[in-house]
Amino acid sequence: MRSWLAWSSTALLALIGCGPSETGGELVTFQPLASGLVGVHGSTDFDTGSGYRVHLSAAKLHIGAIYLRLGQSNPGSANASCVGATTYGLQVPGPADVDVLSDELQPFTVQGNATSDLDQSAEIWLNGEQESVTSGNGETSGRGDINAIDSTTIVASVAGVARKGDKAFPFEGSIRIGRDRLIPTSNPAQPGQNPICKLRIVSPIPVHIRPEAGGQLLLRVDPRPWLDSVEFATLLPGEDGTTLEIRDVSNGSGPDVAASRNFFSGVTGASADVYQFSWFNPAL
Amino acid sequence: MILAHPHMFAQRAASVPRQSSRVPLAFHATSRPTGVLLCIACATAVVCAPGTALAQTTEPPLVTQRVEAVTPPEASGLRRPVQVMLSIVVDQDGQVTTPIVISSAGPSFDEAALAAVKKWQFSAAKREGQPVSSRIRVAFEFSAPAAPVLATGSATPVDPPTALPLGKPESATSGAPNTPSPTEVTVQGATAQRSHGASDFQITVGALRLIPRQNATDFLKLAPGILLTNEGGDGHAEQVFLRGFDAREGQDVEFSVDGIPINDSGNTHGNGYADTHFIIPELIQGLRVTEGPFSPYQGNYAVAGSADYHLGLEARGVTGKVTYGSWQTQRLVLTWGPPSESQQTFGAVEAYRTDGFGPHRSSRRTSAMGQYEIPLPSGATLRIGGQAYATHYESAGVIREDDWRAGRVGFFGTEDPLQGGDSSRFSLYANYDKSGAHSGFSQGVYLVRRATRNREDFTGFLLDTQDVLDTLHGQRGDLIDTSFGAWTLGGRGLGRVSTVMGGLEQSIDVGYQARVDLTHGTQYRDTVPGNIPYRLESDLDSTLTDVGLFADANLRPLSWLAFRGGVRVDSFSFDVLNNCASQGDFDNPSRMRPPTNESCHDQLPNGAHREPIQRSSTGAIKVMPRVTALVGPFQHFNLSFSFGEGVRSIDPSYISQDLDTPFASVRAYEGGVQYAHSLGPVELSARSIFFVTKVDRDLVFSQTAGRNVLANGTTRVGWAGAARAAGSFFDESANLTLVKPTFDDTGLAIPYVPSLVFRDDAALFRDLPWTIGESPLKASLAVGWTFVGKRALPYNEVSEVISVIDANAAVGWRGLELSLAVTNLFDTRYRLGEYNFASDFHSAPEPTLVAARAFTAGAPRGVFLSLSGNLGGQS
Repeated sequence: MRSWLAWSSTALLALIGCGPSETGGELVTFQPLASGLVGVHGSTDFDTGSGYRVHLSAAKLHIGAIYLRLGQSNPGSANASCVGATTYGLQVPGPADVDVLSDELQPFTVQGNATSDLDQSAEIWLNGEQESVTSGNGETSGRGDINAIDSTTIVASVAGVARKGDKAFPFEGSIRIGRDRLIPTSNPAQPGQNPICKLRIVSPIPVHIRPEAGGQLLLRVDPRPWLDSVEFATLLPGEDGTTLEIRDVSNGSGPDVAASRNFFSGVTGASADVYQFSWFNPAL
Repeated sequence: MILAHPHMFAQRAASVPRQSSRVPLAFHATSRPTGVLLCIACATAVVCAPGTALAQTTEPPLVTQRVEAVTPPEASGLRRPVQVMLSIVVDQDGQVTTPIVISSAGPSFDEAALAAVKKWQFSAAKREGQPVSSRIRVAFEFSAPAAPVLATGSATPVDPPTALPLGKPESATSGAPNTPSPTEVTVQGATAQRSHGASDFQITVGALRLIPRQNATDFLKLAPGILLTNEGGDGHAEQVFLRGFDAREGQDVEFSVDGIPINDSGNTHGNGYADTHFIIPELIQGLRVTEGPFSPYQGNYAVAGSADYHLGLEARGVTGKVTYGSWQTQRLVLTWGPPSESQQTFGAVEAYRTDGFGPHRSSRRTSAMGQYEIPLPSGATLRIGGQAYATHYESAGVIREDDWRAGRVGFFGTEDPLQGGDSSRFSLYANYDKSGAHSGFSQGVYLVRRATRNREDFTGFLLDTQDVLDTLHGQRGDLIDTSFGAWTLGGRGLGRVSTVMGGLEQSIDVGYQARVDLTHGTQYRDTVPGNIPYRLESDLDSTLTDVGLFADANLRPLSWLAFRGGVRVDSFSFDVLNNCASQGDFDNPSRMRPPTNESCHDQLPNGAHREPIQRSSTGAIKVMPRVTALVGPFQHFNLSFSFGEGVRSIDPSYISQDLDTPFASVRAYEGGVQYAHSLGPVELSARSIFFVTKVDRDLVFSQTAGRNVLANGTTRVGWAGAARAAGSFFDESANLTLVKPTFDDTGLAIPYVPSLVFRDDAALFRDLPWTIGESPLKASLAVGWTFVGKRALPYNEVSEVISVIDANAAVGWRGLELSLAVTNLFDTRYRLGEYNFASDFHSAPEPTLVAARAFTAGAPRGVFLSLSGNLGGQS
């Protein structure tokens, strides 16, 4: 009997020592940051693929949110859904207006949080803030909605001068993503074929990030490729009559529409050359 | 699945002579070392100690004062002796109540016998040292007056007080009336059942009833390792954690009430959903909690274990209880027990309402239960009964931790006010029992009608993805709206035979439990706000049958060694008509007939037609050995070793045609040691158990589905201990469970499951030195303490500990009692349930899509004042 009791006591103590066990991974809270890439290289002048020498005087990006997915996204997927409900490993669920000509680290307005799983693709949400949404308890907030049809938020803007030969093309441009950019469905049986959220999400951007406690997410934005395919010579003067305008259109006619589309594609193209994510630990 | 526990015999054993099983009771059990083993011999006995497998801690009532009957004048004409057999209840104070005539010799003889026996005095029966009421039979024999007749009212004290020589009439004195010859004793308030090891807890509630308990499920805490949470509201079944299992609302625990199953087979909210709220707590006399699948009586859902409630009503007459307290809580309970009937004859109604301890937490319910036990000739009994129950409730659901910390939602607030539900249950049943010295027979039938509706929202606005076939929309809301309706028809039967071999009694039970469930269940997703269904996710009509056969032997090769158990075979069949089988089952619909947002499409790829319904059927048989070895050559100690397999039938939503194995299986092993001893007036019992449980396909909570879903194999290793000490003025029970549950493939811990659960129940009760009208004032004080250690959560998070104390103080006088109950005495702010999953309740500027902490709030301090009164109980 004594040995039985001794054995029992030993096993009991061993069990007590166990406590809650590992379930794998961890939750990480961090301060997300963004910066421009141009300034890092010391110059805002660059050459485009269309043969222009461009000097940027302003370039800004309004980011609605950032999400990183655990797996690699399939860019060719026909899935109309913009949100895969349970596949995200990192989120920055709030906006930042980023001066992408500055190499200063610019914080987002919200904290980010993540799991310690490996994230392999990133999404940058370019939605606005003006849309109102009624929440479950009946309250209305000025919260953005990736699916809201109408939006007045300027998500990207640029200004500068492009030169080709001896000609100068002062320009400015901006992008909103709203109703006028909706792509009509080609099949009435598929009314949800082209949701507007697809236009607003820059995805998939390849990443290889495993968040860990104490670290921070940094997004560096290089605006130069935004203008890589813009033919500045086709732009029309804006309201002041002197500055050329990259119009905020995606449809319609005119010699400058292609330039507008190319600018939009440059901003919303999921290129790691434009949007570089990294995870760093400031303590190291 | 039907239960047919051994108490089908035990509950009416008072009417059945069973001498071989009576003699070894209390008289030997605690008097000599090997005495404890004699309980094995009386495994078919009416009384077996609740706290131990072999030891006896039950004592029958003792006669302290005896009054002879007055022979009526009619006796002069008797040519031969006649006998009046009475059944009486000896209450906890030793008073005779509810005498009834079992066998009549004529009105005058009956009246004489009744008049005499009412004057008898007893020392009450005891279970684990605590006085309990009991029923005995007393025979009065009358013959022609050849001897002096004692004067009416003259008392004949028994000196010294002795136990009644059960089963053997006292030596008759010449003349009339003869000395009464009491027969068999049944200690009521606990089912007398054969123990199947150290994890077989047969619990008498007794004085621990004084501790505040919210509902019937709360009584489970008297067994080790139980944590109860509830994210669904007052009328929603509690989520049960047992020995490392997250049994959700009963999916892994077989619940029954006096053998009638409670688990809802095919409930859309969770297969096996078990709502015990229809049970009026005042009617709970005991419960049997078997942790692990070790008894052949245990059927479907007994993966983590089983719990069987035993109902009865000790208070005779009419008792009313009114409660008023925090949050506008009001409760009225009326019970009725005919004084001339047994405790198994009762009626009770309950009405309850509360605003709840926060927004959207109100509930109201009504419940009625009635049962009539009819004594039949030859010692048989017939019990018939029924119950009705309905509730409507709101639910606050889960709250995101970050929302609470940011002040966006109160700690007791809600993220979605549309949650709640309804539930109803109606049932009828009948049970016939008969047994003799070496045989027994039982047969029961029941019919149950169930309906439930649950509206829960764990994720907010997360899951409503855009499909190409849907018109463009944003997130419409994730509110899960499940409805379920079922008719359940069941039967159960049991035959028992016993014989004496090698001087020891050997017995075997053979029985069946069968049920068929005709169910209909739907699950919708509703918009928030609006509560309008926009998608039908499930629509099933199911016919589910379960026929279980079992053999349970009690073999004793040696006086100190017993093997119990046998085998159980369950045959399941599933016939499921899916009324929405083709949802999303296409990728190129017809241009001529676009499906848009419809559910249950009738098209296949490329527009081909199909019917939206599909029927699937399958079946399987599961053979489950369950054995226990009991070894007791030590004084006050015995050891037990158990092995068993259990089964949980699969959710009908997972059924496909001819699916091979429509269930998950569990294997459990354990070794335990039990102790029982009387130290003067104090009865002690304790046990220590080591256990290992392996499940081949477990269920793990999925917040997106709103219920448990299939996962991989799991293993639980742990230890449980329990102890109880009871005396004439106190009752103390404590238990502790430590367990380590892990996934087999990764070795990681199973989330949400507590690894440490401690519970203490303590009650003090005694007469005060003051009297009013010669009746003493009585007082009681009771405290229940629950401590739950940190629980593992996903992503290596851990929950906070739970430490909550409930208390109750009461004073009574005669049939009146005034009590003050305080729940969460120290007003601890705690999280009853804690989670870690992705949800989006629009609390951030943009969707929150990554796992985050969420919780369900535990109730703050509540104060409840109750007044109860009893009328007519002694008539």
